[in-house]
Amino acid sequence: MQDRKVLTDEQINRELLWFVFNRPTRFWVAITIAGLAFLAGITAFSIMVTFGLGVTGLNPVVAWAFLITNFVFWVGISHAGVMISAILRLTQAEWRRPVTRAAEVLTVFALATAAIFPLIHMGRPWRAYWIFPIDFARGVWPSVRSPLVWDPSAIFTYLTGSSLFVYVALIPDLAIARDRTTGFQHRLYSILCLGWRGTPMQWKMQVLAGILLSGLILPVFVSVHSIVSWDFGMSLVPNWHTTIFAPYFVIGAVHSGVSGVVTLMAFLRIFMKLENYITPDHFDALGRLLTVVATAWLYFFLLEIVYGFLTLETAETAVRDLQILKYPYNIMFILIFLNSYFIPVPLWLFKRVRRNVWLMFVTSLMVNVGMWLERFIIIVPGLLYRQPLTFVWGEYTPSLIETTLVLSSFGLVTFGFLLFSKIFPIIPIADQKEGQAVQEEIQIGKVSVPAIIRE
Amino acid sequence: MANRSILGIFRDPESTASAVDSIKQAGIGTQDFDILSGVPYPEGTFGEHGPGHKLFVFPLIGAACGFSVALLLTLGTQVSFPMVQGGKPLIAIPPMMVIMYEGTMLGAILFTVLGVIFESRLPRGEVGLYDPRITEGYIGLLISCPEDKFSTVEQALRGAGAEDIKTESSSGVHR
Amino acid sequence: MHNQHRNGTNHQEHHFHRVDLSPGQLTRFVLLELLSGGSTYRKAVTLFGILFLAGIVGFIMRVAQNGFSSWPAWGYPAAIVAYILCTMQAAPIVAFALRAAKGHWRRPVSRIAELFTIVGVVNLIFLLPILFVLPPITGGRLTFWFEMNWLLPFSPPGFFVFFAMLSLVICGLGLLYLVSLPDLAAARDMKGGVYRSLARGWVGTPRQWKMLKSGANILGAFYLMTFVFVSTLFAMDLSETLVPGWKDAIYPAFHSITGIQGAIATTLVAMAIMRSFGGLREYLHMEQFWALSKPLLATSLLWFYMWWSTFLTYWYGRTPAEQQVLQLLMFGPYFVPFVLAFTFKFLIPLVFLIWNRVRMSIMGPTLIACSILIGDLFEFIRLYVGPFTVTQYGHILEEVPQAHAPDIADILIMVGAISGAILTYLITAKIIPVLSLWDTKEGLLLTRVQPYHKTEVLVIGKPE
Repeated sequence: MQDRKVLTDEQINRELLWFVFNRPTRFWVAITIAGLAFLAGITAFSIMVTFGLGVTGLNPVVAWAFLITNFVFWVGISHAGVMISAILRLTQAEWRRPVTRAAEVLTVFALATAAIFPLIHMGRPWRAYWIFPIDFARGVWPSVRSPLVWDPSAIFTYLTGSSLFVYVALIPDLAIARDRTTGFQHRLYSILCLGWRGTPMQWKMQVLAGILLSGLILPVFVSVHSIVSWDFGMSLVPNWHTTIFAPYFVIGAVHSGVSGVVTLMAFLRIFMKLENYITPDHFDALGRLLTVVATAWLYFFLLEIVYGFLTLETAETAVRDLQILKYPYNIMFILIFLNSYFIPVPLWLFKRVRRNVWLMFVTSLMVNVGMWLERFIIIVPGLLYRQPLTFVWGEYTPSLIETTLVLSSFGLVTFGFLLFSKIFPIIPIADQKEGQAVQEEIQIGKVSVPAIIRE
Repeated sequence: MANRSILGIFRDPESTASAVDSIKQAGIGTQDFDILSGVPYPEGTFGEHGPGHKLFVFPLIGAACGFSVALLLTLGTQVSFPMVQGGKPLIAIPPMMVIMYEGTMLGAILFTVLGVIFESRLPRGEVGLYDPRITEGYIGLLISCPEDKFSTVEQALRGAGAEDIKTESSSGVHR
Repeated sequence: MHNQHRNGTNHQEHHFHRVDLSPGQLTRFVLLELLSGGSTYRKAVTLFGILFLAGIVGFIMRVAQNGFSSWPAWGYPAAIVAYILCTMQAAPIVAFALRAAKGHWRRPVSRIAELFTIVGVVNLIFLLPILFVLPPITGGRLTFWFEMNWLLPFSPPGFFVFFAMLSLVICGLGLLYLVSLPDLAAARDMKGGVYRSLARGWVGTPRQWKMLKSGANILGAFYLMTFVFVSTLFAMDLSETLVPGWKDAIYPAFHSITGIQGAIATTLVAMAIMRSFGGLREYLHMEQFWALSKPLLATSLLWFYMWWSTFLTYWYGRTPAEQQVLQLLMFGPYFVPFVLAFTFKFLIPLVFLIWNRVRMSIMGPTLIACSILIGDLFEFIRLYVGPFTVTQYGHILEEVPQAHAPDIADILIMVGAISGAILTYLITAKIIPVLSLWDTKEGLLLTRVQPYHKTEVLVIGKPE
């Protein structure tokens, strides 16, 4: 690591808890903007509940569009946490330390936001309880054969697992906050940290929890987006019914999720002034990871297109024709290629770009624009040309309500994230201190080589 | 004879390690003292016992419980509401496996977290003999010793360079 | 040879070992002892040589019986070429991945994996008759490619498969040569002879080392990407498109993951053999086997995941074409190979590798790796022999053909091909050492075991 800094425990505590214990103006400005965006979404939702699904652009032909695209998109973003946190923990990558909690918290809020969208999409969200096996009196049970019933089980498992993952890793930092507060804050942190003292057994359990939970949550992370993909793959809609959807969606989720983490890290570095902790080294490492992930995504993306044409089925070819050659989907198709791969990845091949925070921020945003469009172009064209009978081919135009709901979801995630970072330290303090403790140097001739200690 | 707790606060690992040597020489067993630190140190850094645990049992039990619940749920709902869908059998194993898998993982995760909290001997109602400087980088050596060895232990801690010593009297008052 | 930890600690068994040799002693060990062949080596070469010759006899029998016009008879040879591709020829990917991940424990493992690039040369030769027998795309077979009327020994898609495989072989040989260059230079300085021309002008300047490391990373990345491309073409052109109605978009990725799983398994088995018979007992410890057992479990799970994705989609779709494909490949004539592949490649690794005690041993991961390699054989039999026996064209497989059992020629070809690949590896291992001398010396420079208060820790330098 090129950007090694020597920081004392006291300095780390002070700097990483500064945002929790202080109220800078920029925080209030940011959370107000996010909150207003969220409120706009609530307003749009209220209008939809009052006047019905007709206020959206949905119609009998295109029954799934903006809202479901946004659901899939946020589930994808939620894969960031596990990818970064679990895999880097298991591989003991040192550069994970400032990144893990932010990625995990992004997972929790992205997933919670994603889970709201099928409820919004229902039109009658008060009937959502029908999806759970709790209504004994009616004698009608949810059908486990439906992929739509798999979704809640997967999302609930992932949300619970991610939340617990965040909480368990947060306990030592809650103890640090407890030791630095008085009054109500002290009581709150004391209860939350469960009386943590830092005995060897407690630290050992922390390490093992990190490894065990990482190992358990990784298969869940793969299964969640696979199950979301099977909402489409289990049907017979052309362009949807293909075996590749599960890993294709997962790798797309990783791509957009890790890009989301890059966006987040850039935001944290600039917004919370965490230059000592989030360094160009981290963006360099994330950039290299993204290059690999993006290339894997491109492979699956191209495979999906190739197989769309391979069997020369009329219905399938018609959908591909619409996606690639017809306006406005052809524009989106080009944008997907450019934004998700052919602009960012060649840039990421250069170390100077990877170590530039602003360039990484911009390219990560581009990726997520491309990935949102990718989900849209999977979902809608297939429905537009669902049947071989051309007289049922439809149109779709998103309404203001749907657009507001989609944009407000970004406000909701930002709002939740800012609120979390106001109450809890967003960078793991104990982890940072451990990183300092395991730093070493090896003298080879005239050079001091940075080293780390392994047990 | 009742045991009393005493906490020595040290600035660095070296002095803490010497303090551990001193109290061992004073007849304190490895099960009678504990290290309190703000970061995890490699096991055995201070000559303390590597703690044994049974954490790995928890995810196994949790997985078994989750698997059973999910199996009952999926089997039960299909048997209770036998509706043929899409030509699939009434008891459709592939879809059951998806939900059973999620149930198994959820059970494993929940029980793992419970196991971590349990093995960490948490939650504690009272934090007990403790010093907030531990989270500032200091290291605490918490000893539980009988009354007759108390002053010997206290001297050993001072001799090893303790920055501060806190004690718990028999009435539970911390000094 | 490894450092003893001090008394007074309750620390569990250390997972790190350091070789206690000076650079000069290490050089002599690698270049004199490892490059010389003992009696065990000579016996192994003789055995695999005889089996390889038997394979040639089998090939002649196959040509005499069926010629090159009837592709159903060539299913088993096709399966074995794919098997070698997705096990031994894929092994260098492990070396690249470990180098990219910068784990300190990988150093004794890298060269063992990298040497498998040489197997590509013989596998390319084994591939040629398969390309001759492939049915042309003019007959109505689906294909990604286009027709070409050039004067070529074989028509598309064989033509493209050949060039993809050739690219993989060239990339692999380039990678092997580059990463061996410093060791070849050391051999030049100690032994002379052919090493003078092999080592060229390598003297070990900082610029040369920088180029070597960058080149190894770039060529390794290209090897991985080219392998995935070759695997994709094998999956599409030598398997999937032979069966009308088989539209499985995940199959090329599934084939590639099978290859990566096979690569790790092959590397583990090779490590175990080198440790027991190759003189590397002091270099290959539990740490290396433990570390590789984790990606072995991960790839086994990934293999299942991709298989499940196909199965579930087909089971839900229930179209006639999909049902016929399931019947052909899983539940009909190739049910037994499918069950065996599933058991050896997934169930056994899952059941055993989730236990830490199995992973933290040498025998455990090795036995599981052997299980996976056995499972791979059955896997490629069902994925290649089945499709090769289909002689229909159209949109759906009208009639599922009977299972095609191997005859004596098929068995001789399979045994001979695997033996030929192993023989090539063994011969190359006496030219290029199986332990990377420069990598091991670098590891000695960058690692220290040092006391840490009352215990010991490993300090690992990270110059990057």
